[in-house]
Amino acid sequence: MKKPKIELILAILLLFFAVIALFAGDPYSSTLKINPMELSLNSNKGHDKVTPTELAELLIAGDQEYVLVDLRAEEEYLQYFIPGAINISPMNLLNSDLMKNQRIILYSSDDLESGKSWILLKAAKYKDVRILSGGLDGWKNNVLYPEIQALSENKRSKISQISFHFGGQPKSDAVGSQTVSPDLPKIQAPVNVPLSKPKPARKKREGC
Amino acid sequence: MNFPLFKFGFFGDEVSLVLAFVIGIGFGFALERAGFGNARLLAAQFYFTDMRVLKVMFSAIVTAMFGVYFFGLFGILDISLIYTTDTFMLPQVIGGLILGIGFVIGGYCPGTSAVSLATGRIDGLVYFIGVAAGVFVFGELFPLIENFFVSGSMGNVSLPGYFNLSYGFVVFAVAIMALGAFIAAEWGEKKMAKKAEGK
Repeated sequence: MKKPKIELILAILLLFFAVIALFAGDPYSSTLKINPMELSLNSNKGHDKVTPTELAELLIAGDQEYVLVDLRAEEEYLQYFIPGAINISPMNLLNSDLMKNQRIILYSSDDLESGKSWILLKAAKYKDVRILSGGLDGWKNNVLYPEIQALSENKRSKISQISFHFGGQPKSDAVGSQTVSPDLPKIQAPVNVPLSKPKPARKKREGC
Repeated sequence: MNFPLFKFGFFGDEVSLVLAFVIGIGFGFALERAGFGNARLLAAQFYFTDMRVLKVMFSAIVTAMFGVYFFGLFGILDISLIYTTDTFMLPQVIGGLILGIGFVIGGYCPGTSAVSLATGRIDGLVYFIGVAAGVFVFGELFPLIENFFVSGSMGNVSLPGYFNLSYGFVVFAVAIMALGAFIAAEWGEKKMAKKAEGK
């Protein structure tokens, strides 16, 4: 038998790869596309934020329609986290169990990290993603240790109650220590969070 | 995802220039081995007596296409980071025609003239000087033709995007096109050889 010519072998290889390519799929599947219009509309309409007080009210009402995601490092998370929050590092966001139709609320120490993660999730077509405005600092200043002196009597008691609920203390009540250290180095764990043995990330799956 | 290495910061500008030099040497060597240092062989393409330019170039295109496509698919290469030029339809058609005319007349394209020069050919040297002069003239005239140069921008278009086809199908179609071109080229070469004998 004659030895097959190199041209023939190459032609068969070419056909082989070509046919595989026909069924192999999209090589760009790992690439995210950003729609600038959609993102800016979201920001304009305020569909990208939750204020700390709003979040506190959601938590108190026992609203289970959202997932609260703590983006900080695990050690920071273990020291303190907002009740119900799960810890996901920004790098693992897209590989996490978060679902695209879930309402997701992101927070970090400040707005920067959660802002980046917000864009990432929006680009990956997650429907409803929000940032806790001010991040954990905002949570401390507005919920745990709020400034209530300037407020009306009505509001003051409401804010104080929220603050107590999460184990905090309004600032005007604290005579010494709180005013001296406004950045609050030590946060006591809220009553309903077991600090000694924090549960690892648990999902809220209800409502999906 | 590890590739493209440069975009992921595995090395900086200096190293990338060294690598470009090495890759360029390799490219030139491959061209020379394919016979592209010879103006007669290159020009023969346009008379359909020697189809090696088509064969070599189409082989390179298909090989690179398979490489980029499958490496992208396996998550080794991030295709979105590969630079592709925008499309300016009319200016690019005109530019292509000018290059083609120069190719037929001179027997080289810019790259092959460098290859030819490296092998010591005088015509390669002359052609190379011509290319350099052309680049200089173009640069000096650029303000006058800038409006035309950037006219008809279509943005960054690709065949799959433009015709709304899947990437896999375009890969398949180009591969089949190449196969057809190779068969046609072999057949045409035999025909032309016979014709030459008959004379």
